Amino acid sequence: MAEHDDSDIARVLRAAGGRVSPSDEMTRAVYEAVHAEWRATVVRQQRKRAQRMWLAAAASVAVAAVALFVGRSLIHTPGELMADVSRSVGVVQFRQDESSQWQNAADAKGLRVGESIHTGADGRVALALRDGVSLRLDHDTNIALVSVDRVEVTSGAVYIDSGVSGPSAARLQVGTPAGIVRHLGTQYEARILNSGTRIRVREGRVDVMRANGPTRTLEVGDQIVVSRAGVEERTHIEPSSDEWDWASNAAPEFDINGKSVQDFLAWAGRETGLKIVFATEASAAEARRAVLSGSIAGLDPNEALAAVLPTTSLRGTEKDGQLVIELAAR
Amino acid sequence: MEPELTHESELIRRMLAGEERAFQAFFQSLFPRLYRFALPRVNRNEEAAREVVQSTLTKAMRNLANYRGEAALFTWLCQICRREIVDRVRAEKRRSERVVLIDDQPDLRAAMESLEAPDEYDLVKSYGRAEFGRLIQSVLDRLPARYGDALEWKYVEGHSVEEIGERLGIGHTAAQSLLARARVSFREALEKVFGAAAEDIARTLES
Repeated sequence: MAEHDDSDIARVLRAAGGRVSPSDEMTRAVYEAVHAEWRATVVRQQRKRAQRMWLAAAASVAVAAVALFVGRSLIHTPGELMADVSRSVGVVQFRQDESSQWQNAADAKGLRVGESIHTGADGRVALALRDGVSLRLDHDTNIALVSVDRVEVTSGAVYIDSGVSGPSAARLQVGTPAGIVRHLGTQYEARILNSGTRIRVREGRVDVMRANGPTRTLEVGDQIVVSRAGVEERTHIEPSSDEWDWASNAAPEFDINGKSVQDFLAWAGRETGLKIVFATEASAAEARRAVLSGSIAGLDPNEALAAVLPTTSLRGTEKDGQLVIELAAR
Repeated sequence: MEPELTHESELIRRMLAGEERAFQAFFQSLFPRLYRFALPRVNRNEEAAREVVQSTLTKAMRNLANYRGEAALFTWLCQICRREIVDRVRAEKRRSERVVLIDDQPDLRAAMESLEAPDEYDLVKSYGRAEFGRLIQSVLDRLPARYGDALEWKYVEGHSVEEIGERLGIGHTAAQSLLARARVSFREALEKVFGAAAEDIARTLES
């Protein structure tokens, strides 16, 4: 039979009937689970390659060993201390490797390169990295600490606040299915969704370096969702939107005891996304002068503002993403 | 979208290197086929099929570096899946309800996995048209990446070559070429498994 005469194949297939297919919903659910496991495997492979390189370098002559160091992100000392737990709520666990048991992260004496962190359905955690970077994990989040300046997110969401440290601060890289996100002095969130990966910027700028696509630079208010097929959708989100509240709720507690009102406002502004503006030089001077005592433990930043300001001679009015501070009327 | 990834060891290498598109190609090609492999083996319970397939694929991800390419990727996954199904059946303690499928018969299973025909096997007479049809579908699932999909889209669903090319992310000419290779591959597989030409199999199924 000539190859192009395909009536026999058509008849066989029609008689056999169409094959069943899993539902879209099932496909998505299985995809997510398997994708997360694949990402974890990739991280382990990268770690093994880095360790092999490290061992080879350590065994050879110094000059040859230096030549093997291809970048900070690849080379680390296994087990190097990387982060401390600033604050944790609910179930937050860590483990040293896949064969280890999950342990309570609050009990850890620091978290090290190579370890993984998991938050439960009720868990959130704020980690203090070197150079002042705050890394916060939302509920149901899994990350791997790949190197001192690289984490890999396999599920859930992370929020990065690079703090007020200058350009010399280490450039933490966050690996996601959409690519590697690198901050340029910022606050931003990377979240793995059913539909893809979402990255949004609250302050500063980030670069999203795609494995198979152009690098994207996002600035304040920018938000992109990168689908699994690599399609990007760009929208906007206000820095003071309540969608950022989870990150504020996971923030390390701020000890107001002995701090100036100005320092307190700077912290509250970062956590709420509000820009602090002093209406007059007099109000700015008062904020520098007044020293607080007490505690705001258990209060989120908005609640803290509402509780602290009335105890001072300053008042705040929120307007258009700003908190305008002025002297209280006598 | 990438050209068809037909070299399975290369696909695994790219997945281990963290290439997102390699993972997508792997999942799109293998998940539906593995689901169809599992479903009849768990009494057609869709949720049970989902669980064993998800468990199979997550174990496969953990052991990706151990895949040596000695067996076809789908065959390797089916081996893992069989163990998952056995574990599940043991856990549920319902051995009496386990369905024995014709392609789990040792000699025919060997035939399917190596695509070599056993001696003298009148499948329709022995097992009925429905099960024979399912066996044809299993042959489709064991063809190289996306061949089975392309053949089904064209001959069962009636899509044009253009539409098939769009689904696969390839041009018209490439889609035509893929279909031609798929037809050859399917005819050869039918000949090997059933010892008969596609024309004879079609006549048997239609009679």
